[in-house]
Amino acid sequence: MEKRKTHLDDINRDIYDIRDADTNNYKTDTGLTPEIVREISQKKNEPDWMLELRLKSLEIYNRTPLPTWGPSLDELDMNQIVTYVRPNTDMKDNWNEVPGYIKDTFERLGIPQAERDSLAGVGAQYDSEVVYHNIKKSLLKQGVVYTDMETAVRDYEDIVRKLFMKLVPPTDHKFAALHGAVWSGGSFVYVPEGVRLDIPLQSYFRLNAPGAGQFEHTLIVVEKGAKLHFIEGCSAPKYNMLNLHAGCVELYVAEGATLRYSTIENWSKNMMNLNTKRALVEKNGTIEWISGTFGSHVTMLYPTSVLKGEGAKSEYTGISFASKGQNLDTGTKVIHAAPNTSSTVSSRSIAKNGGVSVYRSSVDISQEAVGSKSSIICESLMMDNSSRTDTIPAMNIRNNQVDIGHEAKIGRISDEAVFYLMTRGIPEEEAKAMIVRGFAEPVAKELPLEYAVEMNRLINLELEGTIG
Amino acid sequence: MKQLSENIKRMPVDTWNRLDVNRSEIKLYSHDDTNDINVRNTDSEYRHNIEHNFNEFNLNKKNDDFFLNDEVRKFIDENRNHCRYFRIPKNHSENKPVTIEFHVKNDSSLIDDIIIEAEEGSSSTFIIKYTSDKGENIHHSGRVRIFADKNSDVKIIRAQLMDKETTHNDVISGIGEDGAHIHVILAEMGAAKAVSSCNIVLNGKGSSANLDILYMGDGTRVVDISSRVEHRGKKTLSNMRIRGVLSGQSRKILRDTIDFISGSGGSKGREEENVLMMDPGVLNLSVPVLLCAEDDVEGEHAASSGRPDDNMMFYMMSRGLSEQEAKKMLVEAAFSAILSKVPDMSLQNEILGLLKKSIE
Repeated sequence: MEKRKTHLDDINRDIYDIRDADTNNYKTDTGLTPEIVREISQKKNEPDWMLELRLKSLEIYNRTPLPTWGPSLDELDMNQIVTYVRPNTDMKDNWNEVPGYIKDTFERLGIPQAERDSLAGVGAQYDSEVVYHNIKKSLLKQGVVYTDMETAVRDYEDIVRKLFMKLVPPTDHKFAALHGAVWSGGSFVYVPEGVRLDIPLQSYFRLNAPGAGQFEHTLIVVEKGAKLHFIEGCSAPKYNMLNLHAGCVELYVAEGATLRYSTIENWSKNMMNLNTKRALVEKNGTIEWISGTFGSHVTMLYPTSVLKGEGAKSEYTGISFASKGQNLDTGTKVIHAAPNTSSTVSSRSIAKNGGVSVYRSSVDISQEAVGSKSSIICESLMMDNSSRTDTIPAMNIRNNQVDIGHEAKIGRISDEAVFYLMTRGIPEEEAKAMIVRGFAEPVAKELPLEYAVEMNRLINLELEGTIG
Repeated sequence: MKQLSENIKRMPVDTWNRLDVNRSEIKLYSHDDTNDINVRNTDSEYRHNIEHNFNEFNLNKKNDDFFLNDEVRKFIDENRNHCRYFRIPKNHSENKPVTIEFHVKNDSSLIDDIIIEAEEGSSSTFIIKYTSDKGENIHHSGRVRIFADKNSDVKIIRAQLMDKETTHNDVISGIGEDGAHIHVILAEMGAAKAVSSCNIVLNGKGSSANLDILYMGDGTRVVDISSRVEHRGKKTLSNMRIRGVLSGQSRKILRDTIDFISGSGGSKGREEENVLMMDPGVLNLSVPVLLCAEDDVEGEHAASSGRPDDNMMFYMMSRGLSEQEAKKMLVEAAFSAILSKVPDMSLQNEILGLLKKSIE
């Protein structure tokens, strides 16, 4: 049988690449100085403690070196990045009041439609500020809070002050410090004890201004026995200059609570996506990370679960798709810090057309975490030999009452699998399409239907010849 | 005595610094007086067939000692106190293993440098064993370079059975041409800190490598191992098997890498580590890395860690074995698949004896 390469189409980015004119209401100068940080804080009318945190973070940022591992960040010049861009509107809770050009952008991305169809609440951020937030009235009555971070700093100051950047301190790494200094926008969610949301909340982040950074902060508290599914979507149009995303997500999962945090990230290929996500999980709590990374020029993203309470659980399901000009360094970290905690990791990555995909992870089992279990599976699919895919997992085990298993595979689509399907009467092209879709299935099946369909659309297959 | 302290690279690509796996501190000590080192070898048995000498390294081949830096390389070149060069002639099969046993006495330091040049179609086995007196002022730093020409077959067993207080640094590098096969068995059983590495480059089409590693940690010993197989040629094969037993407060770091270079189409590589953790105070750090720049390859790794299986222990104890005996049997079983490949029963027993003693 003649061997020819399978061609896997790039993600169709048409709707993401539509850009609006940069008609912001206000933006800071490029670069990063204490004056710019003070200016951001002043514009937001923040309490003093927040300004102090920003200035201290800036100090830490200035003295912290860039990571010595992972993809090169040499292209990033903070002197060229605008850290704060305020859109020409305040936050609305009525979609009709959002300015037309912003509304059009989000509607093209299908956001309000999704709200009508399947969401309990929606937040939309445009550049540095949240322009729309709404939540179903029935949830408000149960005490659920879903608002933008600026409002939360004012209205829920006690909670925010106690938790903000405590799980991801500015000392964590250079971009956590940067985030602490210039954060803006993002969502705050509070789910009271025992309240279980059956339908998800969603925040969507859109960066329109060229050469800008987006630094949204997401803080979610799910109280005892409560349940939440939160979906985060990100995109930006493509410009010829670098944009930067250094968001921060802090998730607090109380005893017996469950939080599912899903992300479909489709930043444009001029984006440096240096995001930090971390969850603290108490006794018998569960964190589920669903992560799809499709866009960006460079990504460094490793959602972290700190399993602090006995019996806490973490599940990570991730897929990444790296094509030309992309270096997607993703994975997860799990810290087992209490007895009988468990974690599962299932990661898939596809590299094509010169793209680089790296799976990087660490599982730490502390001396206290007796009876803990961890199972890690990662698989990578190489579509051609101009691409690259690496797997760099670490297991750091400090007690012997554990059960740890790790498996990884790298390769191309199996000729045998295609052959088998063909012997069962399935045409060759359909067989190959089935295999690639099957490869992405562990992530797709965890997403709400609309998003699973969207993801399948993103991984649009155009196959020719046999697998080679 | 001269000393060199170096912070050497231990990972082919770095990862999070907090894991403390990217680099390791090593100390090398020179020693001029070779009378403090006993060497026993089997020269008489192979001297007519295999060319060997003690000083001449007129080698115009270049190896890839990936895990060394220039300072360490230079220190070994200038301070080695035991050199060996072996050349196995074309198409010669040496049936009996070539054995070199080093015993390092108190207050001394061995720096050995060994080159094995296996010519086309040859076949040979080498056993290199290190033992020592008891004491913390005993040091070993060693380098082995293997050049396996077309269709040659080289097997090397390197057993480090030194005293628990000594220091040991070791680097093996090998390069295989078309159809060559390199089999390395490493047994890291002694030393207070053992920093060991092995880098094999499968350069030629159809070349293959087996890398079997046994390690044992007990007391407060540190075992630090880096291994890497680079698939450069087409249709190359590699198989890494690693078995370890950790007890007491011992610490182990293992980084095992399979690296598929662009152009290594049709290659397959597999790595597998099983660790038995006998006590709660051990530290077990593993970083199994797969690097891939070629689509037509198959790479796999698997790792599992845990204490002896409860069901197995229960079964054996129900058959009348004590807990201690059952544990010994399990660790013996863990090592047996690799140990059976060591073509020297007394060495097998010596390794097993040390292993069993460590869990008493």
